[in-house]
Parts: sequence; C-alpha cells; structure tokens
Amino acid sequence: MKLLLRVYPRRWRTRYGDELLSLLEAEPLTWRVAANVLRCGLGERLRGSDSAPVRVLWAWSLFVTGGMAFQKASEHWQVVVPGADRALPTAAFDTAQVAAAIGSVAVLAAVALAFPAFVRDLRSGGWTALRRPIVIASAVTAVAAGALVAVALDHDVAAAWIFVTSAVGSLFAWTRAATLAARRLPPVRVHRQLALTVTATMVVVTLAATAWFASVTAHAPSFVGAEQLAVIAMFMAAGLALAATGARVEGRGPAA
Amino acid sequence: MTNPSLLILTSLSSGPKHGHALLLDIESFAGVRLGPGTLYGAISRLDEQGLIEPLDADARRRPYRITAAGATTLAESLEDLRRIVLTGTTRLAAAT
Repeated sequence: MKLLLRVYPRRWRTRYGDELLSLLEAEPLTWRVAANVLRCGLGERLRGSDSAPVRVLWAWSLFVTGGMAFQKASEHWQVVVPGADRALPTAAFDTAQVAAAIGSVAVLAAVALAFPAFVRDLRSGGWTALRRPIVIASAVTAVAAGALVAVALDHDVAAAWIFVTSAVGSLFAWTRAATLAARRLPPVRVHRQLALTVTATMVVVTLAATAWFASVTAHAPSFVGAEQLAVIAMFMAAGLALAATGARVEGRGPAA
Repeated sequence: MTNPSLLILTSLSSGPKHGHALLLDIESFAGVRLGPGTLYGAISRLDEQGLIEPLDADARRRPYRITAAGATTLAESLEDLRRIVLTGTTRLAAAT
C-alpha cells in the first residue's frame, strides 16, 4: 500500500500520507480503491506546484516515446502507397519530422540556458540532492548502450528488447533528474516561452501524424498494427494532456 | 464547492471526525461511499482553504473539525442548494 502512495507528490505524502495509509489499511484493498488512489494521486501531482517548463519536459519525454514508436511503425511506408498518392503522406510525414526537430531544439536550448545555474547549484551543495537520480540515469543509459552494442553485433532479439526498454527507461530517468534539478533553479522567463513552443510542436506533430496515418491506411489498412497504434496513441495523448496542463498553468501567469 | 467537500463539511458539522469515521458517516447520511483518494483530496483542499482544521493525531488517525469559515461556507452552500431544490420542486409540480 505504501507503494501505491508513491503516486502522490512527496510534500502531500508528508502531510497526509500516514492518514491515508491508515484509512487504506482499515478496509480491503479492492481494484476500485486502488484506481481511486492512483487517479487522485496523479491529480495531486498535476495540481501541484510544478511549473509549466517542468510539466512540459515530462510531457515531451512521454511524447518522444510515442514518437519513437511512430518512427518505427512508419518505416518503409512508401512501399504500400502508390507514387501518385504520396504527396499528402509525404507532406504530413515531413511536417511531423520538422516539428519534432523544432521541439527537440527548444528542449536542448532550455537545457543549455539552465546549464550555468545548474553547475552553480552543484557547486553549492546541489550534488548531494541530485547524485542518486543522476547515478540511476547513468546506469540505465549504460545498460541501453551495452544492449545496443549487443544488437549491433549479433541482432539478438532479447538484446533488442533490453535496448528498447532501457532506452525508454534512460529517457525517463534523465527527465526525472532534469526536473529535480530544475526545481532547484530560479525561474527563467524564456523557459516558459520555450515550454509553450514545445507544446505547440507536439500539437503539430500529432496533427501531422494523424494525417499521415489516415492517408497511409487508406491504401493499406493494416500497415500500422493495432498494438503499435495503441502504444503511439497512448504516449502521444498522455504527453499532449500533460503539456496542456502546463500550458494552463502558464496561462494563469508566472507560477515559478 | 465540490460535492465531496460539501459532504465532509456536513459531516464535520456534527463534531470532529477522522478519515474512516467521515467515510462511514457520509455513507450513512448521503448513501455515497467516497474513495479514500477522493476523501483525502477534498480534506487537503478544505484544510488549505482554512475551512477545516486538524486536531492532535490519535496514532495515525488525525481528526478534523470544521472552522468558523467552514461553517459559514457550508451554510451558504446549503442555502444555494435549498433554493435549487425549492425551484426544482415547484417547477416540477407545475409541470405535472
């Protein structure tokens, strides 16, 4: 049950965690109760004090996961679409790629702008707080790199799965480290503007990917498998939803 | 005010209660079983707004009581509801 409470923000858990745990222990833990706690815990996180840039960074990571699945699912799509009908899917695909590139540049620019303050924070004692998440992220990245080498050497299926899992894990581990670091830094106005830019590129990528999907499946309905589509849609939708809450925070004014 | 908040204030208007007692009381007078997450989400917001306040914890169970501001808010919400109920009842009676 304590694990279930981890979904709540730390500050909320410190204040109400013991009481909620006591309440949960008073009665059988059904799936309905678990779902209620999970939903409300996520709600508390969204309601929390995270600034728009921090939310959008998490949203971007979710979206990139969906984007990687989209990239994989869309390989060799030209084979199933006749040459005369490729104009729309080509335009949609190129638009998605350009928007994704702009979003990536905006994220990297935000990281670069925060870097001097990050280094100052590390030198003034921040390393103690950030050491663990950075070590974890480095370890997961090392696993991903090792798996990639194994895949390159003998195309092993198990290594490929380890690579995919650890690559996604690495992305989220670094995102966690970055957001923990960002919470310690003074707010910068340009970060909020970059967050809005990233959100806008996510919307464009989603629209372009949808147009590409519709135009390609018109010729080959089963080109993108149901499981692939579910993964793409789930991560992209989750990323967009989280980014929208960041934009809403931004719309209410400078929260950070 | 959201329904869980109204139910909690209504329950606390008869005296301080901890989380489990609130759940049971609300179920008894409203026929609604709030989820634990829903209950504590509403408690935390009411606490932040100063409409309820925590008392000393009994082990891990902390009772809450309604504040003066909470009582005023509850009275206003109940008055709003009373007007809606009255209007609805009157219009329904006229229509049938």
